[in-house]
Amino acid sequence: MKVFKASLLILKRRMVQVIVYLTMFTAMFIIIASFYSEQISTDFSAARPTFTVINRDKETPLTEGLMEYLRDRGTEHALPDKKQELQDAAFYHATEYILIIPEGFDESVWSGSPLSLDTVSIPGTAKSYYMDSLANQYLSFVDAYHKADPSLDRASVSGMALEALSLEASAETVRQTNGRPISDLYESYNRVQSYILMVVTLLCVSSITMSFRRPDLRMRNLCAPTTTRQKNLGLFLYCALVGFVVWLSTSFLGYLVSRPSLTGADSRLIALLFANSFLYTFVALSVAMLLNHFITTPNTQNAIANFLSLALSFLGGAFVPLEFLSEGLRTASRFTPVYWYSEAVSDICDLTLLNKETLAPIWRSFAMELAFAAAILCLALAVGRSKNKAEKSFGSARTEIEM
Amino acid sequence: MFGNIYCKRILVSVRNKGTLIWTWIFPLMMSTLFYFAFSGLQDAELLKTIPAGIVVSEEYDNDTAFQTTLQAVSDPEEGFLELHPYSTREEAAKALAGGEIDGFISLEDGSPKLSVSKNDLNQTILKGFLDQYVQTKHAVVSLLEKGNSDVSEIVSLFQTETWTKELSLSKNVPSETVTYFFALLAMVCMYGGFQGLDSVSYLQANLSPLGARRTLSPSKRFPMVFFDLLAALTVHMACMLFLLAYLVFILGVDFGTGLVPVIVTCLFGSFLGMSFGSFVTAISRAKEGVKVAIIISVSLACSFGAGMMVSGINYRIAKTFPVLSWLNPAARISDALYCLYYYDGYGQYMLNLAVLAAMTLLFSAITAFFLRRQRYESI
Repeated sequence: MKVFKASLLILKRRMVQVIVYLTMFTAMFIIIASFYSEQISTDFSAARPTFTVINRDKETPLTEGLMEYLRDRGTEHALPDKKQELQDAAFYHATEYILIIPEGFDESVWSGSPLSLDTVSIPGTAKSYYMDSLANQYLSFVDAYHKADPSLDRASVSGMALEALSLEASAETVRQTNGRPISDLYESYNRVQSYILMVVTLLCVSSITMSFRRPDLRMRNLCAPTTTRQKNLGLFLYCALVGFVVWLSTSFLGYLVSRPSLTGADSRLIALLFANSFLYTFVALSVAMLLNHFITTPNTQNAIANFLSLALSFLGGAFVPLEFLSEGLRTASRFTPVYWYSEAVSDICDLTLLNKETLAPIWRSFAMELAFAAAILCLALAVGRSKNKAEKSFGSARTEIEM
Repeated sequence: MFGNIYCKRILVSVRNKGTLIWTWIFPLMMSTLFYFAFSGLQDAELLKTIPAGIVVSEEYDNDTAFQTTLQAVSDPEEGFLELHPYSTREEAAKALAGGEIDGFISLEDGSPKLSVSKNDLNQTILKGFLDQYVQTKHAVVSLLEKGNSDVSEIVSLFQTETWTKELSLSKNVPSETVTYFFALLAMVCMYGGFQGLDSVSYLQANLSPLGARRTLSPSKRFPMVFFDLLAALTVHMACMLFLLAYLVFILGVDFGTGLVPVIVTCLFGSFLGMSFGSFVTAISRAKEGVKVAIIISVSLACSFGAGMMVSGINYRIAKTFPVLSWLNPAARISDALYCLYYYDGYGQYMLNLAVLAAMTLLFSAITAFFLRRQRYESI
């Protein structure tokens, strides 16, 4: 237990950098969560894209009806009629669809030669297509009722159009899991958790081995009466403890911050997500054991921890969903453990029915994670064996006096 | 003296492995990862064909109007649906659970019903299409009941026309991807703090042995500081230009404008980063490691606020906490680049540069206050 205790002491002295990483990660997640406002329902509820209406015409039954109809199906984001405000909102997706009603539009509709409405959106996007089809549907109905009976007054025509458009087709959500689906917030957290798990595990494990690998300390330890088996057992216990604590703290952090959005969610899905990150901890530990052999200074420690974790996370779909990556990159990412971790997260969050068939891809991803962990661990042991045999494993330490 | 200080300071910077990793190699790696990971973001939001199922029941076979409508919207060239027929609801539900389709439609008592497993946009578009069908059918029937006898004339009245036309507010298309590169450049500008840290450490007798040696030298203080900072700026700008060249010529990132204003922005950002590093170093006697940690943490936090980790968070912060946004140097650098990319005029851009200049002056003034006329009783 001497090695185990010494490892904990070393970690305690180098705890600041781990705390900095965890604090920054937590702060960022809390800020993101505070902006999160997704409503999750077990019944069907349509997505509500944000829209803005800039009315440069008078407030008439026609324009008011149009705004009322859009408000029923989208989320209004009010903006002043200033070009820069509209530009910013469109660029940063604060509003997905800006509809500009030109001056004289109302009169032009009733006179039979309607002016066009200007729209600002990112062309071709699904949200702008949906909002545009709603605006067109309302105006087409008004026009149709007006043409069918020109004697009707304008307010009645708008009212009839709104009434007709209030009809809806029935819709149901087919889910055979208990409760509500997993929120996007918690799903995103689970994806990014792979990054923080890898970085913190790497830092914690390499801090210890970096110290134990110092040539003078190694030579001193080789003289000690402690057997190699005892030393390895101490290190193994330390790694297991670090892995468990990092996994537990990051998993509960995500759960606690996302808790409001997880009320009523199926606990089996949450348990599967916990299991997934637990298995990934083995991958992180084995990667840490492999990289230990190449980390010699605090500078390389931080650089390797960040470079590798970021590269793996980007390639494996932790920061950006896999479907956004190019085909070639997606094929390459299959050879990284994060890919299987992200796949498992997606598959678990998409589960609507728990049976042998739907769970099969998740078990496969779990098995792939374990296989990666085992393969990397074997590689780490082989590299360790080769490095320990080499003369250079003692660095530049002089063991005898040169004449 | 100029050549001596300038050349040696450059040599020292180039030999500093820590700075080399964080200001040269790390941004290169991040930009490459951004490029590969975010290049598909723009296409992700585009409307693609939606896979949907239809339960082919007896009722569906008899409803020719609905069949015609479905055929129109599932036309391979113009439609938005990819229709998969299923003979039973159970088959369709199985395909839905397996993720093969986004939803399936069945006819119940003459009305279409949508079954989905998620509440995403594709499901909403499917529902919107069915709503439109139900609404149009109901409106046509109600007009016929009111005495209008010509069915084809009434149906033609409800043909949805296009009442809108797309308007562009800027010369460049909004791009989510490019904002990540703006924030990355802002982060590297902030990393100029490492150069500021080195410069002040090498000048202060209580911070480094070199500082003690230089304090004793007969050279005048001001030229020494000026030449040192000039060399530090040269190294940092070389790093910025190298990164910019990589972004523009290798990765093909479009900054939407000529490179000169982008370089000017980086220059202002680098000044700010260096003055920030000098400020952090001058105001306390903490260990170098602590100061490095402060520079990295503040730079990363500011870059987060500028949108490096989550696109659009800078806009949300600007709308919710405008003062915080204006005080965030990385957000100002990123916003200046955004103005160049997206705005037609230079008003907001100049305002951003003015704020950066003001922050630089403030940090420099405080640093100068701490550095001037120092005497050491002991070091």
